[in-house]
Amino acid sequence: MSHTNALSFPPPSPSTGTAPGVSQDRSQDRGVVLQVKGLVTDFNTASGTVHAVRDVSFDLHKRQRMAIVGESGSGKSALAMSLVGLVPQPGRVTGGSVKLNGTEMVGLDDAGISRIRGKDIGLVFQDPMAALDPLKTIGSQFVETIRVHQDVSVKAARKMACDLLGEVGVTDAKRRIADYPHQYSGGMRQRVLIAMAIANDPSVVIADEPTTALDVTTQAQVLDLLAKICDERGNALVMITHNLGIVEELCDSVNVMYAGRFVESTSARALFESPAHPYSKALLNCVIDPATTKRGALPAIPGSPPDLSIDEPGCPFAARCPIGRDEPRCATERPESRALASGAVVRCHFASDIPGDEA
Amino acid sequence: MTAVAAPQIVAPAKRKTFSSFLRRDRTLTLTLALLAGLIVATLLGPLVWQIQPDAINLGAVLQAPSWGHPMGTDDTGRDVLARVLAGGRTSILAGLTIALIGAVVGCVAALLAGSMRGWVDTLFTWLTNSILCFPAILLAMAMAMALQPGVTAVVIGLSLHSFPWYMRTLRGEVMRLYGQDFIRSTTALGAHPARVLFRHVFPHLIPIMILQMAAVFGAAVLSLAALGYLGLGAQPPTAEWGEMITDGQQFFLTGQWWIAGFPGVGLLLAVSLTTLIADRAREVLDPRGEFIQAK
Amino acid sequence: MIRNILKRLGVALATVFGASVFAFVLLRKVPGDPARAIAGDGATDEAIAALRKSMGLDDNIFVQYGNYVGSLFRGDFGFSYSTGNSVGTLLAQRLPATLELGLLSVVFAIAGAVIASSIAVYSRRRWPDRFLRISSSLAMGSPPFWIALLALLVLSIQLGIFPGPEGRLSPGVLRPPNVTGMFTVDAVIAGQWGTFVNAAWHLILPAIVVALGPFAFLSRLYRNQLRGTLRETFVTVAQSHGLRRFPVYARHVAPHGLLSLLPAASLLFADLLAGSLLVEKVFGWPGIGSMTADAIIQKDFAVVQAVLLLAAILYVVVSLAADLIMTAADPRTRVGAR
Repeated sequence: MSHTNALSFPPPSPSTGTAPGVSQDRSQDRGVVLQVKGLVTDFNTASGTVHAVRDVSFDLHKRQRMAIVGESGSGKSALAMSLVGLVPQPGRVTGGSVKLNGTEMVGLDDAGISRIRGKDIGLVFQDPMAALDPLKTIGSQFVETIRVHQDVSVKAARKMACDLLGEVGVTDAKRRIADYPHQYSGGMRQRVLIAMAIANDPSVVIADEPTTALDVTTQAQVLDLLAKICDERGNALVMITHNLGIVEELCDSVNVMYAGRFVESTSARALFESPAHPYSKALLNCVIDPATTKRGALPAIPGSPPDLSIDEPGCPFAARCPIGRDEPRCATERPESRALASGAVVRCHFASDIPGDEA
Repeated sequence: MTAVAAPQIVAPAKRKTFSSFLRRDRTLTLTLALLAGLIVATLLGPLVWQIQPDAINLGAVLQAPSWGHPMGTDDTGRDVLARVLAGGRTSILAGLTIALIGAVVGCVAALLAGSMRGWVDTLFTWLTNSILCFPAILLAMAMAMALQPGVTAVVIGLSLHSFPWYMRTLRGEVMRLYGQDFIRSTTALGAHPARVLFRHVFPHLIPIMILQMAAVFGAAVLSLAALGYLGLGAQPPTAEWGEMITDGQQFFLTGQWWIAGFPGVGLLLAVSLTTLIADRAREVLDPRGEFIQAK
Repeated sequence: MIRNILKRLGVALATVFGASVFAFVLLRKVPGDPARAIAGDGATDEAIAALRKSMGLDDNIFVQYGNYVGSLFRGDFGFSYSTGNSVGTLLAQRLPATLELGLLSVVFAIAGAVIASSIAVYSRRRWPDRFLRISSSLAMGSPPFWIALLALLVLSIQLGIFPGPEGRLSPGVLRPPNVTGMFTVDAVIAGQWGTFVNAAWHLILPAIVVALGPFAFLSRLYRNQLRGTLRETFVTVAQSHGLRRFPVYARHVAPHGLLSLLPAASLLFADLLAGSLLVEKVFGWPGIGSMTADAIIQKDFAVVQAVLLLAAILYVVVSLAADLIMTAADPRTRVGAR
């Protein structure tokens, strides 16, 4: 991985990141654990370079719960993988910096980054059904995870694994630790994976759509578990999701991602009360409220997300935006991040604090 | 819990022309060009290279490659280049025939077995298993022995072995397709079963069939040569690569390498190039790599 | 589980039955009269009629098949007209040589394929993979008998590293006391190290040539499987837990690849048989392959029929065994879901 910034991207503006005005109980005045600056991730495919993550910056504080929301294909999963250097081929982090507790992660070799993964930063994946090696027992995979970072005997590691499994709600953990993944249900596997992710007490947990593959009843349980665990252990949480309900229930701050960029960074409460960016507004309009939605008319954002392999000059949302459609400035000039008086940081020429003002 | 109705991204499908595809993939271009060159040379070569493949010339026996005979002459003075070209025609035509016969029969059998299930399927599967447990070459040998040694017997024997192989793979795919929603919904909408079979199932088999044909072609050309080498394939005076290798074998170890050498190179090129192209095609047509294992 | 095994056994038996019928019909009922073939072109019609009668060829086809299977169960594989021996005796003489060659080729093919594709997939550079791809395509397309000739020309005649096509031992070297019939093994058992070296020296080159095709087949299979497994989520998850490249590869990727080699085992044996059929002839190796090649030219039906049946049974047994081992080795089929 190289540190060079792709030429087409401006250097990160210093004002991006979690809004200064976000004052939530859990994140206030605690140290920064994860600092991301100007992160760029490209996928070199046969049909051109796809810029999946473009100039993303944020600070994650201790115990903070931050959400990254966006449509499918907005680059949020690529961002999650970029944070830990696990972008799948042919993807590559081509610029920016990821500092975890002060240690630069971008550009580390396999040995260096392996010492950090799992120990200082834990990951929970989208599809628990595919996330465990089907040929190995839960126990052996768990013991392996513990012993990579901790110098303990297999027996001690197994004991720790048992305790952790109990903690995440696997009943009869002593017996079930000898089972194979296919003997677990999807929700149970996700519990196991959460337990593995926190086994070495990382300061940051990244959850990449951890409940998308689960059925609705299990989703709530797994989310509650994740929240409870992070609360008890004091991990900071990055929740990547397309589900605004999760953001509302679980997170302090939120970054709305569109076409590889953060278009709005604000507190969760502020986003729901007064979204500043037109895209955020459109997203919130899509939240289905059974009480008000007319039958048969599901709200949707017109148009489709832009092709990420094209580096358009203007605002990527312009074509779908109620304002940008008619504004020549939106088609020609890319909006830079700017802080609003409310504390929200947006990438929009026309966003302002007063709700409904610009429409 | 509330949820965002997130519109799914459908990546705008870029129309790719075949030529732009070729420009990007130089290895594929090179292999395709080489194979096309080989085929054109063997099919049209005799028009340009006027020496007859079986013209005996006892005045020019065992001559090393020269301008007059770029691949030398054999022990009866026949021009090796002319024979390699003629032998290539035999091999390539026989290989194509085997690949085609197997594909047609195997595909029909697979469509029948996969759509009718029941005893038809059981019968076909049993037949398939019973034939596939013989090595292809052994079956072709037995056929050559039972009928009459020659290209025809080998083509029959190898086709007999190739169709169950097509059928086994294609049957699995037919079954898989019938389990998929788009076929089920077509059926549920009341489409005639025959229409479902030909308009919706069959088209999905074509890429797999093409890949298998490439593999069968390569294997068939090799087997034909092997039988020719054992004296069971093409009979003299028909020129055929395997039979030419047998002819040149005794001279190969004593220094006249060209008689058996060039037909061998022809074989190697024909089969390896087909394999390489099929490999690349597999990556494009079957990115999951599920259906066809190189045989 | 038991039901599953029984079902597979049933399928295997049905397949062997089908194959035996097929071999029988192919060699008895297609045009071309076996009796005429054996008696030769000069034989009188009376002589042929008598031969037909003695061979039982005038009986009803079902009776003939019954007799044939009955004699098989008595261990009687028929009589080889061209050599004047019973086919059973011939097989017993020839089998160890082919077995010795075949087993070493299996070892070469599997070891070569696993090592080469592991390097190709594990390496961060692209050339090992390209090299494997091109070399396996070439190995796939190489006619084994021609490669055998080439190898003899270069390695034994020009460079003298390996012996010429003189069979299993150098002239003058006595065969070791017979235990298994495989000279290398017998020599070790008897403690005759000189003989062992000589036998091994004769064995290696034919084994490499026979192994070439199966190597190509297996290495492509294994490489594709490894690359597929590398894309699996659990590999990324293991990395996210802090496992380094090599442990992830050794503990989570390679086992899946090795498991996938099992179903290929039966195809591998078919390839080996076909390979040895051709290569034995070139190297003067006195095994089943060269025997079959001779028998076919001599139209020795009983021998060909026995070899066909043997090949079919071998194939069915190997695939059944591979199937069962696969079921036992994969926890997803071994252990039921809770």
